[in-house]
Amino acid sequence: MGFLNYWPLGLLILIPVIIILYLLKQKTEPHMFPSLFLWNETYRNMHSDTPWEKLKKSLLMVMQIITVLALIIALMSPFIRSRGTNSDHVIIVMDNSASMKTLYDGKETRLEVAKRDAVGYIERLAAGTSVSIIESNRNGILVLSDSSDKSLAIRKIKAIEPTNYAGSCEAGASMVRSMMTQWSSSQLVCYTDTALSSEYKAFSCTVFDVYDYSENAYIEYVGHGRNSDGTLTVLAKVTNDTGSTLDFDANLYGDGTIIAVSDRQSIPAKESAILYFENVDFTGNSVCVELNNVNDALPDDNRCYDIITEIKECETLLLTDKNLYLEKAIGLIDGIKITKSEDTASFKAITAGKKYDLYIFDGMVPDELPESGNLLFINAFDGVLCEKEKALDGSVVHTEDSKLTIYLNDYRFGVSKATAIKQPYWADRFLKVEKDGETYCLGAYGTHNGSSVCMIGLDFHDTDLPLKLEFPLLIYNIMNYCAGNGILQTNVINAGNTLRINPGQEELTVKRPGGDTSVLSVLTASYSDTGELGVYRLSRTRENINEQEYFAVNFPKSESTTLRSENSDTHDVVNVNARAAGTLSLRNIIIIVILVLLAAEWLVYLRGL
Amino acid sequence: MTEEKIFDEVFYKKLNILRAKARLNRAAAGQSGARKSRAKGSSVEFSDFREYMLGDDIRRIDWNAYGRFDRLFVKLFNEEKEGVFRIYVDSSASMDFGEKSKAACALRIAGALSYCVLENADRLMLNVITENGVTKFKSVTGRNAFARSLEHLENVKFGGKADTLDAIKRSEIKSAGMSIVISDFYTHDLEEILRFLAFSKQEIMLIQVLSREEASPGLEGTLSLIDSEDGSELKVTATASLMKNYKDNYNAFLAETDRLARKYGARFVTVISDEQLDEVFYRIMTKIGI
Repeated sequence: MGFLNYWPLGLLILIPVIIILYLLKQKTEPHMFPSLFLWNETYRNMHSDTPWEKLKKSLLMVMQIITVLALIIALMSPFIRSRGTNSDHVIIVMDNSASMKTLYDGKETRLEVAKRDAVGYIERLAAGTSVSIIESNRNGILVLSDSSDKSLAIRKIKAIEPTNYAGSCEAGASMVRSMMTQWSSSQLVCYTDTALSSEYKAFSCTVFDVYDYSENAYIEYVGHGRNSDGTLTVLAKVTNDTGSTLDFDANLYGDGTIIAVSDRQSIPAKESAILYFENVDFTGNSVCVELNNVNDALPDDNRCYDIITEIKECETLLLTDKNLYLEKAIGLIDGIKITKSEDTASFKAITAGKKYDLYIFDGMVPDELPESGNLLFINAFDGVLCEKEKALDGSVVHTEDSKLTIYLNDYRFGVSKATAIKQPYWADRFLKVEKDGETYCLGAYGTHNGSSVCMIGLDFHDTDLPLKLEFPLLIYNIMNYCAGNGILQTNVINAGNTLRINPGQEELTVKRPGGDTSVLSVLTASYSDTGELGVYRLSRTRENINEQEYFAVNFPKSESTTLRSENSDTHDVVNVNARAAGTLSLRNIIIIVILVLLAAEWLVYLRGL
Repeated sequence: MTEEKIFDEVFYKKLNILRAKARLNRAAAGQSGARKSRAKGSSVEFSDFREYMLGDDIRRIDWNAYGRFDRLFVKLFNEEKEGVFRIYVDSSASMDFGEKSKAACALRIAGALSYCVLENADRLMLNVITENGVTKFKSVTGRNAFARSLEHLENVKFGGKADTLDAIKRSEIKSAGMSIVISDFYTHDLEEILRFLAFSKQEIMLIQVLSREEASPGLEGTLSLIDSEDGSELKVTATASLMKNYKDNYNAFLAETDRLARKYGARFVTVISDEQLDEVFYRIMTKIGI
């Protein structure tokens, strides 16, 4: 038998209090009687009682003391272990994915219920049992490893916060597997609202199931379109996953300020509808649609964001003569819209009246260079920006540290023939050839008249580089330099998803929806701290110009669904409502004993035993 | 003692009823009087015959018997003597108790008995047992003394702790008669009292007066009981078991008193102070054997 709480022991002070009260009770009012002749006789009779009879005189006090003791024991929550906690080591996997924010019983979230139950579970563990705790959402995080400090384990459990990430216990499965290898006799306990994946089939697992069917309505997505008159049309897909018709209205916020309110809407049970906000006069950065008057189990998914500032695609004109390597490599890069020209004549026709963000000259240059836009010369020389220095044969090309050779440090590849470039003063070298004691520039980049210019003095057909893994990486870096004016490749993601950032950025500052700011390192290519719902702002300073882009993080809709599959039969699934699972609580029994004692006390008092 | 009128109109009306019914024909041991005595004497009431003996008064020879049996017989006549009744009233503080006062009850009983005694031309000796011993009133006879007797009784002050045995001894019982002791008999000397009275050739009548509160004390909770006579205290918790114990003691006390009374040929009556006087008196008379 064990106890969950020990603080009620402090109530033992009540026992001497009861005794003192009984002693004080002896001070009573005087009562005149003709003679104590008979009373003295009675008193003598009572004094001649046996010890048991003497005990009977104080029976009420004794019973009250027993009642208080029983009450104290009941408050200590005594229990008898019945199963599940005999192992020396327990691994607790706590699912804190977004779905665990769903209200379990209308008051507490599933996570709160799970945490409370886990705390009770840890308290009931035998002394010396070591505990490991894994927090599982999009990733598995080892919160506590092999600790027999119960209070520490309880603190760790209590410190687990809900997340907005999509996920389940599955993310912790690999960690569980490695632990089970180490402690094969471990007791595995999972607190989750999701059916355990097949990853767990190999383990004997007790699942404390905090899932219960709950009604939920949510916004699946928000989209927008810009009308010809400059106004916006915002649409939101609302799903009613409740068992009854959903009556609601919705607010439209622009950059956090309410800008429109919808009419009262009704959606039948288990159906979806599109909600429109038309002709919205708003020119800010983000919009948010929020459902009103919806009392469902998961409030966080009643709000959805969209960014209305468009991500700019890089309009690129490629002048090449069937360079498949190059076309394929560029085609892999998001945010680049390619127009191809096969000769200088068509180039001239294409560029007539249209400007491109980037011009790529592969093996040829037009007679006249565009007035604006970035330029990439690949084995092409105009004689002004990109001048030949020397023809080279059979050389080894080395990379030099630069923003164009990220992840390609000290890389080298062979080239059968190449042309050394005369490195301009405004350009930095990123490819070089060392031959005959001389160093020749084979690749350079820089800014000239406000345009990014990159030069490469070789034809990729003359190298083995396209056959290597590093080729698309080099092209990506080069294209990012030449075309990467924007920061983001997408601007709406779900919480927990990784945001891809165009590489080669200067120092970026992220302002989170809550107002916190953080600075990303220069080489950051992604941002994954996207647990907070709302609109984020990324800013950078480039060439003394401050630029800002926004992206929105929405609640993952996979976590909004109210349905799920069942757990495998191989698991010991325990509904968390059965709080005594794993143990047999004696509290109720003791409470019954207390009631019986009180009734007996009452009888004793009435009968004056 | 409560201020109630002891000998009120109701008391006198009941006395008239008693007058017709109560005849004390015992205890004729006093001086010559109106009561038939067991002793043979000179009254006109024939009692028996016996053979003439030398020295007998020849005037009492029954000549008719001589004619019939040819032997001398003398007639014997009952001597008429007055009965001597000693009434002892316990005036200790314990008697001054009860919603219906034990003291009033005791005095009324004493008054009623006095009436019967004096109505029968017997001698009445009222004694009040007090803290200081005994207060003796002058013995009286004749109905004219009744008013004076009641006056004595009305003036009895209750209080203090009385020693009944000592008081009775001090009363100097010099002749046979009937001693009626009216008390609650909260004493360990009862047997001594009975032995003394029996030794003093007394017919003994014990009238125990108790209150309803003593017979069935309705106590609740824990109390500090104070003895009205000596002020001693006793803390008790009035549980049902205690009250049952007390009741058992009470009954045992009555039974013991009755046993001792029987042992010494005394008559014993227990009276609860809230009982009707006529009922009480009939019970007393029945015990006396009228």
